Amino acid sequence: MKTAAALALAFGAVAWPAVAQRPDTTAVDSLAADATDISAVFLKTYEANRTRVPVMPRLGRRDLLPAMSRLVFDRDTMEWHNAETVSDLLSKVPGVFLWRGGWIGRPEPVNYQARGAASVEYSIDGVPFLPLGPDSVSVDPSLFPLSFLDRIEVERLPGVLRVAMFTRRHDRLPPRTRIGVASGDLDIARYIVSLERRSVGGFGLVVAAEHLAVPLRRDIPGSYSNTQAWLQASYLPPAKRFGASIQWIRGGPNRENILSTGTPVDTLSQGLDGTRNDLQASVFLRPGRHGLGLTGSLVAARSGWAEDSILLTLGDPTRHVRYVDQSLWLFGGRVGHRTAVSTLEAEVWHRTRWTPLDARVHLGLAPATLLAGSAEVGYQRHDGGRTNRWLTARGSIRLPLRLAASVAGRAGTFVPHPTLKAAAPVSLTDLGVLASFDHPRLALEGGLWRTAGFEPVTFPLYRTIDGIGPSGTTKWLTVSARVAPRQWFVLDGWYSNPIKDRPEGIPPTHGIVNATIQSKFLPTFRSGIFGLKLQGSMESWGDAVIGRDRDGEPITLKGATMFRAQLQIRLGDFIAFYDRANLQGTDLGYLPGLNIVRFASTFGVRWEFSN
Amino acid sequence: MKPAGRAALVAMVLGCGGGGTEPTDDAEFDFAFADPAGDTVAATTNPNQVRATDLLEITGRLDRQRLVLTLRFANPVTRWTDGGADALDGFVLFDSDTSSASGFANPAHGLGVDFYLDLRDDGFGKMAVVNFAKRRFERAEARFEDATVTVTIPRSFLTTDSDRDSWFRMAVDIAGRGRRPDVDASPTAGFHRIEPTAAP
Repeated sequence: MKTAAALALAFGAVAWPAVAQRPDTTAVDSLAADATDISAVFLKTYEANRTRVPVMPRLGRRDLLPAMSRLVFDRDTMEWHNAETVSDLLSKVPGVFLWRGGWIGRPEPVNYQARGAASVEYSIDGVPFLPLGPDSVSVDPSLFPLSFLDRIEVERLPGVLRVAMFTRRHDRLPPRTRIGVASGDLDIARYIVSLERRSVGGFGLVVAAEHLAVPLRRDIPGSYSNTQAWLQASYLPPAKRFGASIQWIRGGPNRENILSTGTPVDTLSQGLDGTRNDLQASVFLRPGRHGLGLTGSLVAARSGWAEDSILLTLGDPTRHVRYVDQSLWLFGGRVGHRTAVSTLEAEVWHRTRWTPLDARVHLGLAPATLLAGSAEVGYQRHDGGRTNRWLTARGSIRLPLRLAASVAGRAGTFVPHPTLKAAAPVSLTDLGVLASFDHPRLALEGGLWRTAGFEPVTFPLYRTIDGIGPSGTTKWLTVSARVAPRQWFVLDGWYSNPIKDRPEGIPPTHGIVNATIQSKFLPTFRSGIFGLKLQGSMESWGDAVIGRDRDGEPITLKGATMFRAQLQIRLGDFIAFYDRANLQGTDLGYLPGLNIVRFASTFGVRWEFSN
Repeated sequence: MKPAGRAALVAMVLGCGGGGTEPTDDAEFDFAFADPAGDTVAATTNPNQVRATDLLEITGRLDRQRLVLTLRFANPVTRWTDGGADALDGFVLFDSDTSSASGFANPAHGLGVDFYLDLRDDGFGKMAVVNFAKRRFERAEARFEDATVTVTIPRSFLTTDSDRDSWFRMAVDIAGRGRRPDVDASPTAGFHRIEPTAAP
């Protein structure tokens, strides 16, 4: 046996060089050219990259809105900000206070102008993203996969934000790949990978995944992990205006309960362990040349949340079962017409749960460069015969000396949380007035808002905060500014404060300031491939009543100042970053008992390239 | 091995392998337990100003297929998922092996709770019966009619591999939305017995 093996080895040893020494009979010109000619491959890719192919329209996007109506975060802006989550981006909106449950991996729901869980309406690619699961009244935007998105539009209305998220669109023939790896304190890890491809015939395919794990040490509760996936197939024939797409976005958050350390033990932040699936299929008519003409779309979508309820049930100190297996279908249609100075859009949705009918008509006008206006009329019918009826109107004017002004109003009856059967309609009239000065070196915006009295619903994930006290009519002052004394140095930030009143759930004198040094070192790196960004952020707020406990007693949030810093180096589409939070090592947090890990840091790389 | 021994072994193996949870007896009987009117507990905390839900009577019928349990209250009650102030909240606790050493301990009633019925409904006309040992739950039909709630629980939801008889200890705790402490308990201390000998 040993002899046979030795013979085989010997034969192999002799035979292999013999093969290797065989004359290479393959002619050079018989090889595929792009298998060896790197220059040709490069040139071919370069040429292909110059050709644009049709992309998916941004369904549900409001084409024409007056000035100062929305904030847009495109891919470059997302990369520029030190945002780890969608919530981080939303914190750039004046008046937004994130109920951060701590550092990365903890919940980060948004409270805007003291409206609690009714502060924000979300959509992904034009389909409403509804709260499902254990927290069925609000969406936690920290769960959105930021790497799947390339544009977020935040429509500011008094008392409510509408956040429209749009997935990435690839408009070139060569496939685009994106990979990212990040790590940090407490062994956190984030992995990002995506591949986008379009063909000459109009077919497109996207495969993407993002995994975030925050394991934490044993003595720190609240470990978190989430594996998210996105698949999209689309068909957009180049010479035609119609198209179709189907996509699936999946998230699987697993977050531990965070318990208090005192006696009796209480649940500060409720865990999460389940899977959310959002599937949507659409056919659409794209706009004509220059984005004008008739548009339309038909959408069928299904959203569902399922979880291993019993694990949480028996971890629940109350022993109550949480029925969280929820799913619903959404069927919708849109039609719109756009001219150079106007847009008219109508949309109708049917949901198989909670809201059987959702209809709205939007009109936008810009009769002159200086003037713009828009109006929206909406009607929703919910279970139990409850209805929403509202009118939204906006107008803006651009004045000399780079000045602009706008007004916005929203009035009607609303059922803020139709998932709650006992939720009754409330009448609201909210108003806002904004004025701005916009210069490349100095930009200022001031806003005065008046929001109607409201009884906000709290974020149920935070179990010790049983409620938020009702607020009366509240006036708000918001100021945002951007100063760029040098091209490489920018100071920006915002401030928001309720005037006189102190509504619960949101702290007064809340502000964020960012100081950013950014340079491409053009004298040295003339191609512009290099970029350095160093940013320091300071967020502060005053003492507040953040909510009520189960006995109805106020829960005080102590005023705090939080510092954060980020270093980012860019080489072309390769980005390396280092992000450090809670720089001053405070034990305070955005919510009582849920402090930010001291000196918490993350670092990593992201790289995006055309194959 | 003797033939009788082999038969016994085969029977044991089949018995173990079957894993069935069918009841072991054919008992079929009704039961009823009254609860005093007006015995609700005063609230120390009641932010929602919930009126005390006063349990008056527990009645039921147990047979080989199901346990039909009816709770009658002094005032109408509504489903928990309706979100109203009169929404039904609480638990029905079952000690199926009549041993306080198994299940989770409930000192107030002296029970070792093996199963419990969560009186908060799921929004689709069902309530959960939780198997504490297996950490699973099943959903049982629940019907609300004015001041009574009737829950039909298949027997298989209340049996284990080792305990499939018709003897139970039981207690009911009624709560209110945000109201502390629990509103009404039946019995106030100790437990009820569901057993064939108690049949009227």
